[in-house]
Amino acid sequence: MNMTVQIRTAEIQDMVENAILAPSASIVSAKNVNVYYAGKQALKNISLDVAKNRVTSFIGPSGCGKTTFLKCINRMNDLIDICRVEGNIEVDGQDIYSPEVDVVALRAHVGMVFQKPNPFPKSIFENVAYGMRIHGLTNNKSELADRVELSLRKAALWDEVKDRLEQPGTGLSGGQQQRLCIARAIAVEPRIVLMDEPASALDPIATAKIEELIGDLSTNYTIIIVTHSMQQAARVSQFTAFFHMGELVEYGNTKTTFTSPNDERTQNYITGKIG
Amino acid sequence: MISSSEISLTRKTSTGKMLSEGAVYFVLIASSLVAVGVTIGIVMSMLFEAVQFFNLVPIQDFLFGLEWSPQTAIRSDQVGSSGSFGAVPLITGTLLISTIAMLVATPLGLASAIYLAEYAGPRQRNIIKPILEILAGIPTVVYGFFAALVIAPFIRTTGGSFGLEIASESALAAGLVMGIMIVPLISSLSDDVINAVPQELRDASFGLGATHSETIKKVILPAAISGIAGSLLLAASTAIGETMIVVMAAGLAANLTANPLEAVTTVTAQIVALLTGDQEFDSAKTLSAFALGLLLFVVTLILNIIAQKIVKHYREQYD
Amino acid sequence: MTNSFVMRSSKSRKRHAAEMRFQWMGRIAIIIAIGFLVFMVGSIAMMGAGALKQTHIAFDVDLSHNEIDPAFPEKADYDAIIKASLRKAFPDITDRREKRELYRLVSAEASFSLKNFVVNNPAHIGQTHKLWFIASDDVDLFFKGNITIDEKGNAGRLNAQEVAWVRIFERNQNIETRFNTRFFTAGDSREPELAGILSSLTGTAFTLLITFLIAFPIGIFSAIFLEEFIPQSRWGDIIEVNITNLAAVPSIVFGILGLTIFLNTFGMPRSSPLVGGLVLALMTLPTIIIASRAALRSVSPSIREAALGVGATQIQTVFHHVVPLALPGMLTGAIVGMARALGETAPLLMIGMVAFIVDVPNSILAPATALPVQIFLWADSPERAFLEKTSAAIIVLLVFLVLMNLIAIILRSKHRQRF
Repeated sequence: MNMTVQIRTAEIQDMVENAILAPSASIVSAKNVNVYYAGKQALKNISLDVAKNRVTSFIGPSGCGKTTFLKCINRMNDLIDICRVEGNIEVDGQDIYSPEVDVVALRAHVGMVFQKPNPFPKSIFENVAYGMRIHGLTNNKSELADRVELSLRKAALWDEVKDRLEQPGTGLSGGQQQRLCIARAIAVEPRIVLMDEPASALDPIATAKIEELIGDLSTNYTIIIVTHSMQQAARVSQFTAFFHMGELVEYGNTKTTFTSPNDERTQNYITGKIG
Repeated sequence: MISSSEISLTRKTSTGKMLSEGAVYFVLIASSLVAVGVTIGIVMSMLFEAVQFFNLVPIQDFLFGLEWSPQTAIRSDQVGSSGSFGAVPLITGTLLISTIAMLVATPLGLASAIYLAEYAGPRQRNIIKPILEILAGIPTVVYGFFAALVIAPFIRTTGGSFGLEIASESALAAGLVMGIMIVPLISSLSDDVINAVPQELRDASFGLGATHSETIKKVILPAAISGIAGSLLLAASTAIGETMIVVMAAGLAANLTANPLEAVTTVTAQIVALLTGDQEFDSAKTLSAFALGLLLFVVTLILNIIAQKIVKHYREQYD
Repeated sequence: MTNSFVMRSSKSRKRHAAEMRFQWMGRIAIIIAIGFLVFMVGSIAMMGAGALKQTHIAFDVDLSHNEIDPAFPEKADYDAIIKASLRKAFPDITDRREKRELYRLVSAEASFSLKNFVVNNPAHIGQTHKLWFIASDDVDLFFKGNITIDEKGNAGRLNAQEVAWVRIFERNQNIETRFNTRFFTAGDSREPELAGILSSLTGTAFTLLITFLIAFPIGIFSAIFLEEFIPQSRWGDIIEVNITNLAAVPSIVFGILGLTIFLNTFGMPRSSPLVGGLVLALMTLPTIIIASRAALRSVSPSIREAALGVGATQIQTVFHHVVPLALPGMLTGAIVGMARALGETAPLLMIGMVAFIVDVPNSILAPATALPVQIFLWADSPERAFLEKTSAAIIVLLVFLVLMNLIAIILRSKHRQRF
């Protein structure tokens, strides 16, 4: 038992040291966020800033509130009737819960990739074109095709699907489906991409591809990823936030969080005592 | 005495008990075969008379004939004793009324289903759904009465004020009322179908910044289309088989027309007219009712089978 | 690019407007459907409410010894007595046509009710009594305000003269409306003011009794067999497909089945509740089977395992443990099926339950009609006065439907509480 833990921590240390840690401006800024589900508090006083064009991961045991917080950032929680959000979340300096915000446009600005790959039962092309069509981003057929291609290239899927764009997206493998969903999300040119355990339903090879893709995308996009896997957090993110029972226990650059956590609960989690 | 109360692992049940269990089995099997018997009975009850009818009137004359006037002579030496048995006016009449009904029920039923499945909260749903179901529970004779007494005269006077001449037993009145009657059929089936669309697809669309209506129109409805088609087919089959509304509000004039303002008759209305009076089971007039019944049965059966296949396939797709 | 999600461009305003429009389409559809329901039931109720009241008129009746022999009071010509009394009330009428019009104010039933009165109260013979009689349907409609006086002074089929007579009765307080008990205690009649629903209601009761006695046991037995003994077998599938298709067969087809099989082949009595009940039973069967199977499925498998585990045979397990738990659900299904059968009209027309039935049927073999068929017959009749009778009969039918569905809902909710 102890052996495994030591090996793990060592492995993590190596990975974290390779991460690029450079100061950058924040793009998301949350202050005193409280979330209630039917009166039951799910998030307690969360304050955190997310760095622009970096990968930030949210980790923590199941039910700790990490996904809830993620969904606050593009207001997907609005869709749950019993959910109430208090506090202040700013994206690009704008309070996204203020009445003048257009939720629909916000979600184009803050895209999302879900846990289970969820392509529409439409063709691969139509899946990627969907967001551009609803937002009316282009009326030009060839421009649409170009942007679909670009998005698929960015999602590292183009070469695999370029000959079968008219086939249903649901016919792809799980990993390809998830990359299709990423292509679909970035096609509307969001600044931020939220990823809710994007690789949890995938096999190790597909997972590796997604992680590689996340690294590539982070040059142009701010990525926030919720993950169960600490190794994954360590591999892909520069910053890590640890949530526990609705509280933000620890937040800092990934290396520090994994090597010398300030809080005992973080320590317990990364060594496998809780979770 | 002890030995008799011992529990034995071998079968030592009394013959009486075995007999009674056997009897129970027999009753159970017999009961479940009743449904099969009914189906066979339905087919047989119409087939023999229909065959007799087709001996008197060739089947192609029945299916493709354009004139329906099932008058047979009282005395054999009377002129025009044969009557004509072309079912086309009845079929077009049935289709005309059913089409009107579907044109009313499809938008109302689908819009209601979408609202109930996507927008209404659980409280609203629990109130609205049972109220809509009442529409399906009201006996058709009540709809027929209302169509003949309120809707038809209303349409007639409204049309009259626009200079339109509308028959007092117009296809429109029967179709409109029938349409309202089948709204809950479409709405509750489509509601189920829409609810079966996985939540992940909604999330994906919302996550891309689609509004709720865009999500419904571009993702949910396309995904649910086959299930909805199934529910529409079932509703159409109900409309085709509906009897009382057309008997009371559509009348018996066998006009070959597509004009909803004229009077038409339907297959079911003719069956009622032919079989409620005096019957002579050797005359083509009475026998023609069975040919019509068989036609009605076959058409509705085919529609139902297709609809059920579609819906079943749809369910499996999202299971 | 920054804060693009705040600016409400015209494009985003358009999308939000489209969203609102779409939501309203759903609301409007529901409002139309429910509005139609309210309009239909409401207008029928308003039309039918009048049938609960019946106009009666009163005049002095001379029960003189000349006309009635006290030894044989039932032999007197009561029709003539009524006519004579009416003439006495309006002595200035001499014209024959006018006299006939005068007699028309009173229902044809008046002589029967006078005869009953005299036979039961022979002491009154030789006296003059003010007695109340049922008014004719035309007077009834006019007095209740269902028809108004037109420019010629006529009110429906009443001419100006008759209207004036009614006014005289009114002035002398010899005309009034009373609760129409006859509507609930009499059979059908050609005269609207005399027609009641008791015969058709009894016919419906007999018919539904047969339906229940046949469809319920067969329905639950076949549900038990399909669900407990041959689940997921080829035979089970065949029967199941059969049942779902049967559930969607137009009801009139069941009527044809009844006509050829029960009437023509088996020679069962035409127009009888027995045949009507049989036909409706076959029609209701799929509903009961489907509901009963659902009820059986909702019984937890652990109960079956427990019973089988202590050595019960499968039949014992099913009948001692599973069926009692599923019974409320099965009953609910049966009641829902019966409610459908209650309103069914078309198949009953096919087997001749469409006859003019005055007498209350006294057995399941007697000629009878059913309430929905009575509605159909009255709706078809040209007499204006039948309009409110038809509406009232519909209201009675709907009340029974609501009651049955309420019972089903209560049963269902109790059943749900227990598990």
